[in-house]
Amino acid sequence: MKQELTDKELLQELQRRFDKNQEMLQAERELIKQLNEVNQKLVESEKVKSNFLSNIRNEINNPIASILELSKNLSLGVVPVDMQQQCSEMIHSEAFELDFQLRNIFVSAELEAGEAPLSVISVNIRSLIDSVIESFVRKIGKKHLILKVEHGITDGTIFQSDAEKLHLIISNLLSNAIQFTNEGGSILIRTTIDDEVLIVSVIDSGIGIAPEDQKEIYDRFHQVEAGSTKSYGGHGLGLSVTKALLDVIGGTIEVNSTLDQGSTFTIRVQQMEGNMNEDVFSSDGNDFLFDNSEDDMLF
Amino acid sequence: MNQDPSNKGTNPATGEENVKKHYLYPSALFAERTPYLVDTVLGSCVAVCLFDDHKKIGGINHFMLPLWNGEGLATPKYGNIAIEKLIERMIQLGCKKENLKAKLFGGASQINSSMEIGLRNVEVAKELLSQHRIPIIAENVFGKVGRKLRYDTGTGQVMMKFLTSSNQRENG
Repeated sequence: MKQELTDKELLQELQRRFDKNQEMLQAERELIKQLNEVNQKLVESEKVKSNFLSNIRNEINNPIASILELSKNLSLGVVPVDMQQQCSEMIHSEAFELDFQLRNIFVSAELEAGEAPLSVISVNIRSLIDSVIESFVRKIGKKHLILKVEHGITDGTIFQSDAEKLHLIISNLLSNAIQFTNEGGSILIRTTIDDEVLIVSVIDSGIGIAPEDQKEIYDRFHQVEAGSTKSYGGHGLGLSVTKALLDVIGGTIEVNSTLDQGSTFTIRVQQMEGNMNEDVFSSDGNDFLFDNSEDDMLF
Repeated sequence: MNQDPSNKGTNPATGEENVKKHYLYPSALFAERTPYLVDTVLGSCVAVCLFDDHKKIGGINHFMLPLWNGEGLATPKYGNIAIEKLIERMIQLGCKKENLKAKLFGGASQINSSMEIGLRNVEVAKELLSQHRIPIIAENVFGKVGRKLRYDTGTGQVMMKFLTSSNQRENG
């Protein structure tokens, strides 16, 4: 049955449609604006990536040059006996630095390729943190920093997670704290487990991060102070690797920082299930098969 | 231990023993020349299963968010990265793009999520696959419940199961 519209109803309907079109146009404009912003970021990111090797050249060349020179002197026997220990310590410290930087670079490549396999095991959290600290103890001593650890977990506490990834995450946080805290400053590591969530905070009395810079610290290759004159080393991969690793093991990171007063980085990691590989396909009749014949599609 | 390549299972389709198994976590992708049974669990995440029928090679990803926007690392956590990288990997393994066919799963809407991430994940997958002219020959997407998949990368077959409250163990 045909229904007649009055002029008023017609005008109302036209107005309604017109408003709806306007709305959609507005949404589309909004989307285009967002896409432009994303595009801009991608262009910048690619540019930085292509400069990556030249950017990190010093990070790799300097330690290698030191190691070569120092080990050559040692092997030639031109280093006085009382200097030999110091010399080998320097070699170790340069090699450690290089190893750490390279590990971040390789892990970031693995993460970007989706090839960072998880290996969930029972992790003794306190010994993991002790081993991270142990590896940085010389660096901490060299800068005369005071390191304190406040464990809110008992010795021998076991947590299901990926030990290697947790190790690199906490190493990056500690390494940053050491790097961005001036001589004589202090660093505090705090741990606790709350309802299957491991919480680790690394609190430093360092240079801090301005609020406007805080949202960019997780971008790859990004450092607040860039360029050849920057006063702090590193390649700006540490926090982006940390964040991506946390994504993989089911964790989050947050930063609280005040310029010139210090930074607190806190990670929260959910306990993982030990064996995800158990047979999820018990036959209880709730299975659907998607094979390859196109006319046999079940959905 | 979960990625142990020697981990053997039974092929549900053929009943054959000794097929290698792999558990695919969110943000990861998987493609190998030899057949594997790949298990994964999806909530609002989306998995794209690609299969080359000529080479009998399959690959799968599992992404959590639709688009990488330049923040952080460009990992396959994001649909636009995960799909491009999976196609790249398949081509590296000797597949031809024109022989690839896709199956699409996941994108459930989760409670307390106003962003409709599942919906946008599926949209991105469909858009990118159509740009690459890869046909979607099967899909089971959206809805309110998560899914478990078992993908046989040697045959392209996918076994899917809805998660019930008793077996709910969703991680993406």
